[in-house]
Amino acid sequence: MSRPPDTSKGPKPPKAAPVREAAEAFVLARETPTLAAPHARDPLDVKRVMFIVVAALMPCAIAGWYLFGLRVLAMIAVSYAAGGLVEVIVALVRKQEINEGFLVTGLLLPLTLPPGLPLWMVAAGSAFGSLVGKELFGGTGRNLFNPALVGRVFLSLAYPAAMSGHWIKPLCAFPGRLAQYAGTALPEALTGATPLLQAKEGHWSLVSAGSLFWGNVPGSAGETCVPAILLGAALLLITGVANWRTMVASLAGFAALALAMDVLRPGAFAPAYWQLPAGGLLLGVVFMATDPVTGPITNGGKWVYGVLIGAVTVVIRDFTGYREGVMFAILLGNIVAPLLDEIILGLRVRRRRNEP
Amino acid sequence: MNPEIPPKCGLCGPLWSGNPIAVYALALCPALAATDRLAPALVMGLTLTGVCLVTSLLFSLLKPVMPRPGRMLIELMLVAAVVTVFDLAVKAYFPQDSPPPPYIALIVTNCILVYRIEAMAMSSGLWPSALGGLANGLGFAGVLAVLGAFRELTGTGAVLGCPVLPPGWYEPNRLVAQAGGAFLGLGLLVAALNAVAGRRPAEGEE
Repeated sequence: MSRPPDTSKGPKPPKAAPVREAAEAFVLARETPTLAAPHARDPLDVKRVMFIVVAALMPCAIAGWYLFGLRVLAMIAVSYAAGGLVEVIVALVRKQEINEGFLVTGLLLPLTLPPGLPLWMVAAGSAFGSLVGKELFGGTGRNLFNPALVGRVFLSLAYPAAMSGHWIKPLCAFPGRLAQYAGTALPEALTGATPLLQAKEGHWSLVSAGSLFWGNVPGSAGETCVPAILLGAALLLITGVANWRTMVASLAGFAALALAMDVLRPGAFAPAYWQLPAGGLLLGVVFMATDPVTGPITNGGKWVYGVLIGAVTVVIRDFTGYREGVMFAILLGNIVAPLLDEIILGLRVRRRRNEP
Repeated sequence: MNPEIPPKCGLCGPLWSGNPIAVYALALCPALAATDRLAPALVMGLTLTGVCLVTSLLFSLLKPVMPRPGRMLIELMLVAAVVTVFDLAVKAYFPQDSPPPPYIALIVTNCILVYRIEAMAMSSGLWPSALGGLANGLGFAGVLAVLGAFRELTGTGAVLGCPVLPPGWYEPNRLVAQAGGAFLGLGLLVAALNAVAGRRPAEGEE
């Protein structure tokens, strides 16, 4: 269904060409999939990778909609609109095409935010993530940090009160909040506490691990329902879009340190089996740590990177004033990822040289 | 950083095309540390302008009697004396009820001073040295003022303590007032200035 780019208007393309091309690529397939080195086995292009990630995020988005109401959909729409506007402007200025990578960022960001957050903040975070997190570094594939996390870290540092107080109580009984817009219009749905805050105050036993698993707790829009995240993880792993080493290493690093804390200081912190489904750990590990752009390329690097993310998450949760540490852990991992690759490649080269 | 800093660039050069902060990336510490509000940014910028002018004059006059070896030691001591005078003057005339501006004493280590003394005052006449010192101080003060105004406006919704953006309508951005916001703000400001001036990274620097 693809057709060649319209060249009837002479050698100089019109100003709106990037927008038209993006609109075309949205509905039709691109006629030139990446055939160069890393994707040579299969005509797999950025578009398909990104669409698989979006499909894998769908269970989380739908679970967030069911538990927290129509507001989650409004947040996703606002995030897409604000981030998309930035992308269009940058594409027009740079005369480049709009990339599908934005589809993932624009969906991932609202799923990591409190579902009662004012919508203009969602817009600000999405625009900041796209502009500073991605475009200023040179666009898709050149960013140092995960753009969705850059947007989230911006919001949590700029508006700490709003980012820790606008939670919504989930509604599990059918039909959930599917047709409700739980916001200021529904004050009884709002709450200021999440399980991780209760854990910080020493009351983790008030929340059962079962309700953490099924998502019957307040939390960020897409992070609470573990089965939905596992569904997405399965799709990512089956299609090979995400690497299993990063996920396994992150969870192993997390479990090892959390279990060590259980043994060394029993009762001081929430136990490992409770902390695992709590907060944004699984969402971050499955969808953000596995980002191929900001993570390491080498397999050895992926193991170290994952263990680092998991361990730093436990350290931040247990020993700092922050309730949740996944965001900072992944951003720190992003910083060291190129260094890890360099070390692993250096070791490999040295081993080759020493061979007879 | 550009290794070839032209010492003689008139009054307008340091304000725009040869700005010590935005172009040569000199003296970034005060640009980051003293700009969370407009008032300390102005105090820091104007004090440095004064110190830069006085030291440029001083070393241009002392040039004939200055020994070449060991001159850094003498420079440092004289700069420290001048900065101490300015520090005491600022403290004496600053309103009592407001917190004193920080880091004035640290102007001793400001690299714009060493750059002006070594590159200009030690080799030029009185008038061009003084002009260069004044212009570089003003170029520094200008960037600090813009950054301080931006950070105070977005961080608190006020400028010089007077509310500009209505509090109920504007939510203050806490990030801009923090150290991380200083880095972000300076980076965005330099990027914007480069975009306006049409500057591109030099060959091989990309």
